[in-house]
Amino acid sequence: MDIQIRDLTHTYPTGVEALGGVSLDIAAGARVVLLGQNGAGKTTLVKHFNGLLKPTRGSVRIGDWDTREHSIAQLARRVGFVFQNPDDQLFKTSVEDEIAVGPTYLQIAPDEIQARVAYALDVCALNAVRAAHPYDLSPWQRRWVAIASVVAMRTPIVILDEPTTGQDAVGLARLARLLEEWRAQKVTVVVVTHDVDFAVEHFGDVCLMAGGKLLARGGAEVFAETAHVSRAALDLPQLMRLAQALGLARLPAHAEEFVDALAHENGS
Amino acid sequence: MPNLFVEQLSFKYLHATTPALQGVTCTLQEGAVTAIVGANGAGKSTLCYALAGFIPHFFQGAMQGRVRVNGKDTKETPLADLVTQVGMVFQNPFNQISGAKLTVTEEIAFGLENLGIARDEMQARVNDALDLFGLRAAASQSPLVLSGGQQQRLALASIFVMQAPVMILDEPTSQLDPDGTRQVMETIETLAAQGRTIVLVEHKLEWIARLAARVLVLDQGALVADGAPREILERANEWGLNETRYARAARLARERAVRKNDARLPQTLEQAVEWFQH
Amino acid sequence: MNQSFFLDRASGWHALHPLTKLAVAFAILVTAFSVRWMFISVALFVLVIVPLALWGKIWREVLHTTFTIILPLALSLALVQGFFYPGARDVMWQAGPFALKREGLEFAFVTGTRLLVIAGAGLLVVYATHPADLALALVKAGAPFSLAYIAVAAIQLLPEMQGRAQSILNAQQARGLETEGSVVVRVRAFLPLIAPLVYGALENVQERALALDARAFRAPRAKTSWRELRDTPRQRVVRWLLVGVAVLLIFISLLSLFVFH
Repeated sequence: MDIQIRDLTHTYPTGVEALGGVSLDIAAGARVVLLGQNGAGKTTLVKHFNGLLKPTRGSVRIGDWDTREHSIAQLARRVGFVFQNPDDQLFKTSVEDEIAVGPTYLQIAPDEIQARVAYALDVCALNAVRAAHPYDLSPWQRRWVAIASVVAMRTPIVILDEPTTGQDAVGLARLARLLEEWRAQKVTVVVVTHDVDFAVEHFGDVCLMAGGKLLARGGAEVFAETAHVSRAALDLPQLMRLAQALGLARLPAHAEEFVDALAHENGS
Repeated sequence: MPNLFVEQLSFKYLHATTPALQGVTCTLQEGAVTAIVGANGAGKSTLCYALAGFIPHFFQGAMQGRVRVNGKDTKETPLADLVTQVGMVFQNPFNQISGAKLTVTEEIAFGLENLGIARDEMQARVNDALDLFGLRAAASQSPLVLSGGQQQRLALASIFVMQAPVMILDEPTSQLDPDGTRQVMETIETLAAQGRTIVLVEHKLEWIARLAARVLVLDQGALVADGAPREILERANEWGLNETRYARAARLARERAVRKNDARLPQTLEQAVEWFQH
Repeated sequence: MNQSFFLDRASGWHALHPLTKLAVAFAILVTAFSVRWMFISVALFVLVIVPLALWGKIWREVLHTTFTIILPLALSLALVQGFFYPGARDVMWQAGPFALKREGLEFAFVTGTRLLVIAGAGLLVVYATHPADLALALVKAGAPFSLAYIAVAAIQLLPEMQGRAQSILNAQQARGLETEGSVVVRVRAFLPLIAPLVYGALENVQERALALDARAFRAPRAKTSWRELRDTPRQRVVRWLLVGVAVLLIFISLLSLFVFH
């Protein structure tokens, strides 16, 4: 399912204009990362996708639905949202009950719910703690419970807001595998983050945001535009910095590309 | 000069099934940054709590072994005395704001008020801290309107003025964006340059490589490695740590014979440039 | 964003010691409740509260808040008591089965104006007193430090709690919880919100408690203060007088209750 954003402006009741005319098309099954500092407008933008926020001006379409014409609960059928703070949603007394909440609200049949919960527990490596009370788990485990509860909803679009916070190497690898699962299932995925290294390694479609505007969109080459990168107040990904320092012609997105570029330079 | 000894420390939280720390023994280096790294759940925060005395005085559980701060056993010394020896900064910037103060200046002074420091001494220390931590411009603002990076610098300042010889920083940048992270890390760099004894728990290994003189690795509650940063961080993958891309690229280059450098893998940009130009 | 109710203005009223302001508020309240004259509250409001608010340069806020909160309350009170006051006989206006009775209206008037005085006196103190000063004054007067701290911190951190409640609601809506519709739907939607709010609050409390301990909050030593509270002997005398008069008034009104009825 695709997402179409036209001239989206959003002003908060406090008067702050968090988005100033953003237009963006995200194709069905695409995998996009929104990159920028805190306050760039990334979270404000994605909250329009499931109707948590409504446009002050402009429009957002999820498939054939205009978000202004549907409630948040209705949009939840199409858009799964993993929030920055997983603790905001946890209220059941066991991890598996918590994961089952979303599908239950969506009125999925009970045996289907069971199957989905089992799958989500698996993919998110939560089997060992399936009966544990979510609040007895560590913060990084609770984040995975929140992710699992969205996995179980099986929505055609999934949004993840800062999923890399506090993750160790194992967690990041698991996240990468989940993104691959979703790609295979043709789920449209939008990730919001300020982790440039993760973004450039796992996403070929990068949207740079700053000050409520979309600065640039593209692959690794968005980082070549130093004006945009400094406006977004972001660091270059580690390997790109290294490549620049070594005077390499290319901007590599990951280690393999970097070594290829080196080999090419060597002529070896 | 501070002395911090940990002897065969084991701890299991009250309702836990497995111990959070098992037989950890180490001595803290004075006047330097000691980093503690490890996968999530390895026991890093638990070790911090034990160093600061929150275990056993705040958290309930079964504690074995000993932590000695300046000769005092933490089990036998009241927490109020320990906090003057060991200061701690936590992950969540917002939760460290007392809520009792309306300005940044007063917030920094809060700890000193609790310690009963005289007003002119307070004013002197707070004034220095405002400059050292780059908070002079925000001095009369409410702590609640600051950015995450500013709030963490405020937390650092508030602990710093209490003049504890040791400062423990538990993932101070995990909730911050790159800008906030840089602000905090550069502040830590300044403190380290002044010769403070700092314990830093972090996932961002690039900064560890830049700031730490020594790295301790925890794995499932046990201390599995203790040594110089570059030496330890080379083995990041063994312990589930977020290897720096520099190290990954160097290893790959070596494997594919694109570079023949036998030196330790680079962990920072400067080290990488040097390594690849060899 | 207003982090607390305190309005930092330079005025004589502001400069008074917090306990003095509290004593004044206390005296006003006691007078409103113990003097048996229908218009005492109005008199107090117009002749004492408003002038003090003017002196404190907070009259706009005091009047605005008092009237926006109290007026709707007072009006509904008038309607309810006017029509349904028990044992009232003096009917002023009638429409079918609904009779507006004088005693009811009188009662509503007295209660409504008393609420006005309560709000006005409270705001006089809160708008003109720095919360830390208030806490300090209470501690100096003998209140436990932790209580004073909690009072101040609770007010400051309230907006965060409200923000969290909204986030928690959003989190459930985003999973498909229907929150609009019949009363049944709305009530059922409310239940999943309680646990995260409580748990989140508890988790936050633990982190906050740790951070406070790290700032020697529970150290058993005499605390000093960054701010200075200025007190004068004259204010001390005034405070004792006010409290004395208030206590006398209470005594007299109790006496009149027992002796004259």
